[in-house]
Amino acid sequence: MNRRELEMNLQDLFDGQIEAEALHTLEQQLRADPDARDLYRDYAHLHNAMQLRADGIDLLHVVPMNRVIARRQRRYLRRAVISTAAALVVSTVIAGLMIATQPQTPRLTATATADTRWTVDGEAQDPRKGEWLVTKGSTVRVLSGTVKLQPESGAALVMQGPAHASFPEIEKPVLHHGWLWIDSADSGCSVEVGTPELLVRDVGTRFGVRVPEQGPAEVHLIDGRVDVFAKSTTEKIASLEPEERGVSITAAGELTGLVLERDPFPDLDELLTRPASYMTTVRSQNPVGYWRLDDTVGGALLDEVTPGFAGRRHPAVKTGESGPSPAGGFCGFGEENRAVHVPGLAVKPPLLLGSAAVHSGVLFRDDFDGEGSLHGTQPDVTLNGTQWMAVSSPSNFGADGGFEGAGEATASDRGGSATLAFTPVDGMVYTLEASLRGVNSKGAWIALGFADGRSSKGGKNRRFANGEVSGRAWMLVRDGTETRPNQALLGTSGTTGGGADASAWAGPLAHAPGGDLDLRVILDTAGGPGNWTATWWAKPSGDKDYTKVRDSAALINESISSVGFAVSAGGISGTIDHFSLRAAPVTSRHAMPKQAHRPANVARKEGAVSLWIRREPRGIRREMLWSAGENPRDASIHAHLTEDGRVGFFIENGRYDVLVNSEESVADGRWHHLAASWSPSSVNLYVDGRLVANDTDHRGIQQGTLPELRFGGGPPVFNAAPFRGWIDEIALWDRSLTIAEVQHQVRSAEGVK
Amino acid sequence: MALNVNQQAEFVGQITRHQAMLRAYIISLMPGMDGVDDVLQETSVVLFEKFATFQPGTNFRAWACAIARLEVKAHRRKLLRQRCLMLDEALAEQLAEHTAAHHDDSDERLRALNRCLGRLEESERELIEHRYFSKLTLEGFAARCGRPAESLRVSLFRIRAALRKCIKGELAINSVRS
Repeated sequence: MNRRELEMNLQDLFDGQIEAEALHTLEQQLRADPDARDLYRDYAHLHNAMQLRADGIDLLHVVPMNRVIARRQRRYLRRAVISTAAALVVSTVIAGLMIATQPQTPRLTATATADTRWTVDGEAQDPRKGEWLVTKGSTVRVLSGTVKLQPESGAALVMQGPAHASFPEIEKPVLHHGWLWIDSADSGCSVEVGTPELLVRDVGTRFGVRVPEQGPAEVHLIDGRVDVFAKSTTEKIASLEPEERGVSITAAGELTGLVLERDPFPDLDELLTRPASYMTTVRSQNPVGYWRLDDTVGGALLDEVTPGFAGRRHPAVKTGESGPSPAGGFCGFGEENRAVHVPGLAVKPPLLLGSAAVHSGVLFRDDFDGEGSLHGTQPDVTLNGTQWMAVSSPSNFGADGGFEGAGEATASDRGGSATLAFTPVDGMVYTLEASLRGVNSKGAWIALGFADGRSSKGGKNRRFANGEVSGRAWMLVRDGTETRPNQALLGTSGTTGGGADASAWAGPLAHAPGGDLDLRVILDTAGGPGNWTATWWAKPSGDKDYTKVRDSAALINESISSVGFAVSAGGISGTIDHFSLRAAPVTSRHAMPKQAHRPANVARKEGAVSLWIRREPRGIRREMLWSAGENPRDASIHAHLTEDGRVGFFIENGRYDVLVNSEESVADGRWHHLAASWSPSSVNLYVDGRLVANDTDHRGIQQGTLPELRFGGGPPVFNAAPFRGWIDEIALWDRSLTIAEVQHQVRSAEGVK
Repeated sequence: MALNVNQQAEFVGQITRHQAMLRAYIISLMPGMDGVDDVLQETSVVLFEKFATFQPGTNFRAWACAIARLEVKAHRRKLLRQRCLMLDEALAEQLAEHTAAHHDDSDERLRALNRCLGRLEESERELIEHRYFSKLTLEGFAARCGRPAESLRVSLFRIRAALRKCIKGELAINSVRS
């Protein structure tokens, strides 16, 4: 049942309109899905509120005092009733001052080591006051690291990741997987650990229970005594006393000795207070991008978690500025930490931090020494392990470089392509070359170039001219028997051999005699988006140098996802002797640093962004901290500072967009950690590890990605100017962060003990 | 046992504080069934009659919910005899606990509802208000509106989803600001 069906069924249920089958399905989902139960609760509240509103119910009027009195009249004297009614009038005023006290829900106080990754489902309380409270009924998952959980009795429960335990009762945890250690010696209470097959009950002791992926559970007893019961029969199957070994215990009571594991308690306090490296902390949370902004390589802003990938900055953004340092209480960063200063000028864009490969050197090279079909083979040099995708049935391209149009020359549906996956990045010059030998075209053509799309099927829609595999900057060759010229092309027009911008080769090579010919297409992306250009070259056999066959021209469409060959139809034959693609960064021709950038693809559905900022208190404007959008004019998701220095976080959310704001200013000249996290069920804004604003409504599944990710500025939405201040340690996730993870980043960076 | 004046005063105070929650709890126990207000009244009568046995300082909310649960059980038995389709009882009780546990300030919720109703298109607001005022079945209501029931169902779904979302947003923002 999808979300809409669930909601429709809930509506029908509350309207008394539900069908039996739908009710059955709904019941199943309500039993299994906590989100569905939340939705049920919301519908109950909505119906209650609407009915109260519709009925104009004064809350006192629904108390049927007249009926109560009437009933009592039948039992007691009228006098008593009158006094009751009179008393009620008086007591209504008094009762308004009364406050009912609720018993506190049993809970655990949790602490974690600095490098721990863990989550709490269910009723985890908001740790705004710097402590994590895990309530009865919660489930705790420790992915790595160590978490200490303490009930009010004073016992200590320690989970060592990876581990998974639930707490139907605070002192009766159920361990599903991993290690759980108990020390109840000083608490005077008994802790009972359930496993899938056992119940391990201690009597004031220290012990560990492990549930492995496979096989029976283990008990490692350090001190005291534990009794072990079979869960299915509740019979006691073992009573253990300390000995220098652990035991594995089956549900039938079979014990096998094991090496005794060392318990964590002697080192626990030190372990829990030890700070971790901030970098390590961020990395341990698996971001998809993390930029320290140290400007380490030639102006590049390197993605620290994806080596070789980088973003770029505007020259007005100053690097090498001092970032948060130990002097400021940031023990995890080190003295060498550097930040960037964004001047707040209308520069576009201040920081573009996608994750793109820094292309350099030979990206592809193939000498075609293979056998059989080219489809599925790898070039001699390959970028990211890309394989050829070539027409495979009937095969037009061989791994030995041979190409041959299948069928007759007029059978235009016999064309096709051979391509490698490749996406250019800004700031580069790409040189694509191929050596053709023995070309005999018989009216057809072979092409080399940059294209969009790939296919292993043949047909006129897959040969660069148009359709599924479309040429972007490409050149085609016929032999000298053709009256039609060789061409250099930009884009497609849907006509065979044509193009939206097709130009016959300049000079005598327009009708080259066929045979042997070297081709070269140069793609220059140094000008940045919207300014890519191509140049076309050719060299007949025997010539020493390439001849330019078409001057540089701007691309019509920069959507490029492949590079390779195409043949137009049957009849053509020949061999590709050599193929290569080289990349060279442009370093000096333009003012803007020419480092690679490509879309970050922030997901609308779920994600998180964290960074540190510092903003002086004077001259505050409404300023954009970062934005993610579908294009440079869009900021579907963004964070900004308000005029009074508070942090705002906005996310487009269909009919009702979400905007949340912090209450306090961060523009105080000090470094602050900001994190925004979003998922289908919540939008959360954190400042210095504290949840300062959130929206907990279910957002539905938002589709799509936002390729434009900018920091320090963005489109002028909300009348926001570019940020003016310091930025450091930007991280991007393709999932939401838990509050524990956010707080962990801050605590470990600050070295909080 | 008759209540003394102090007990009566405490009863009124308790029931005043909790009856909106109690009503939501009862709705959760018997979603889509007729007689919510009847059950609420019966529950209130029993609470009053038994209030002398209630221990001051203990959890009135839990006690009231327990009484309501018994009253709903009795009501369900009546409806069962009429072969009404009902949500599984144990599941309903589990869901009702969830509803009551997350019941926040009813006045604030009503204020949020009013604000959110104000954001609806006029035609949408009229439709949803009319739906609750009329107390007709969906089919009856559709006939009165002159619209197909299925079309009405989809419209109401959209409006309720928007309201539910809007109210949650209002309450969340208010809780952050308070």
